[in-house]
Amino acid sequence: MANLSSSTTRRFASRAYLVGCTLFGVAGIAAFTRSVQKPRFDEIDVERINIIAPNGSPRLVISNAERAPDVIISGKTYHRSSSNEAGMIFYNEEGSENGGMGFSGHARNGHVSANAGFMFDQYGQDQTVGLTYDEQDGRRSAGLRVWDRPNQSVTLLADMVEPIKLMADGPEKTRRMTAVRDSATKLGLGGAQRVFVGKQSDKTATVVLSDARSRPRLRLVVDSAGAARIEFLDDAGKVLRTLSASDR
Amino acid sequence: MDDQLQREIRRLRRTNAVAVGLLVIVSVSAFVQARPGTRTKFDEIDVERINVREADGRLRLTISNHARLPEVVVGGKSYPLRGGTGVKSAGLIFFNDEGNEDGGLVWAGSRNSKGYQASANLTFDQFDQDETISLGYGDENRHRQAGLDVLDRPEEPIQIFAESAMAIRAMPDGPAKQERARRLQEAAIARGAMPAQRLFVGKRPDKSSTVMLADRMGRARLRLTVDSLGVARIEFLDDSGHVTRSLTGSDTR
Repeated sequence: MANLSSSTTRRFASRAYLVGCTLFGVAGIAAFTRSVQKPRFDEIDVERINIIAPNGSPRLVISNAERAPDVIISGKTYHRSSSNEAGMIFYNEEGSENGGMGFSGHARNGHVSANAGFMFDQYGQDQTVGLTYDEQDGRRSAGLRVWDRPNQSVTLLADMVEPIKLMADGPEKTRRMTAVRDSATKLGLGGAQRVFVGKQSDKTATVVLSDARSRPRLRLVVDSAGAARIEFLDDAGKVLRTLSASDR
Repeated sequence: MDDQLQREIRRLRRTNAVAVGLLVIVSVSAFVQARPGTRTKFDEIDVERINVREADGRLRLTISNHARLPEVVVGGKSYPLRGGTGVKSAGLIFFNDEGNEDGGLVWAGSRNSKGYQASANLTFDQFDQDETISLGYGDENRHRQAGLDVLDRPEEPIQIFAESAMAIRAMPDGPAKQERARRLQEAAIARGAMPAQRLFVGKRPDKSSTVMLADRMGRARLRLTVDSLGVARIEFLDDSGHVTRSLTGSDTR
């Protein structure tokens, strides 16, 4: 009898053990599966997020400055003119960069430098519309900008500039960069700012409409002293006509 | 022999205890990892969509590729009305506290059989309506526009439009469908439920840069322009689009 009871207990214990193990196993697998399929977090800390298309190509990168991607256009990678910034970089269906949002600011050796930009690029080209803020030691500009960009691919200019970007900083680099940019402008590979609406570092609030060669031709201004005027300008920057409150 | 057997059993029991213990820890830790209330750190993640939700689960923001872009949600209801134009935008969609879409930041661009098409927009919607301010770029084979738009939107909820649009979309293509769409638009005009563009600052496909201010019917009434040749003018217009006064740099007054 005692023997029988003990063997029943043992059989029961071993069954319970088996069931327990199975339950834990299932629960464990379920928990891991759930976390693989659609995990939920209250908060995540991350240095870089890549939003990718089903085929793996990027549509958006959100990152700190260190992990910010270089420019990718038509499958080629280029260095930026300025340093990479924290923010977002947008990519079109072809995996080419087509805009972004970057921000930075720091005080170093007593000099403040800050900027923020939100940009959309023309297809195959550089920024065509954007909101920008720039500051150097209290000289600030902020506003909306619209640019013309050439029909040719931005890679034509990028290919010219890229080897110079890799040179050590110095007068030779500056000279060559200026030369390349000048010839790019002559070839029509640059761009032209057509619209600025905002405030400029001379403490004016302004609307500036420019021609296809970046020259301001119509300007609405309220200057730092509060004087308002509308100016028509010629292609050499000379004011042709001014309207103000005191005009008849 | 009996002693050896008992030692063996004791050893097996110990092994079992350790194994079960480990299993418990692994199972529990798996749940703890997925459980809310913790903060997780990653160096870098690849993801097709991120949903930012309120604590109760209401969606406030999606960040996604095109394939996982959420459907339009208005009046608490989903409408598969996005992407009718074939543009494969990816980006961010914003939702208000009621879970209805209230803006977004999306972009797209690709070659197609006719050339290429590209667009990018940051938009904020009027409450229960469509976009009221938009920073954007649109381009179809070098026919480009870029700038800032401000729009008036109708007082009625956009859900009325969404319901009609769904009904029309369900109809077979043909004259009846076109007629229904035409009547829908006429009715919207009749009850003053059409949007009106009030402001544009930017560049137009005719290669002018411009500031345009419009009246409540969306008619341009004041226009500052520098055209493709660099000629600047300020124009006042009447409600039928006639320029009633024009100022240029060459005026003598």
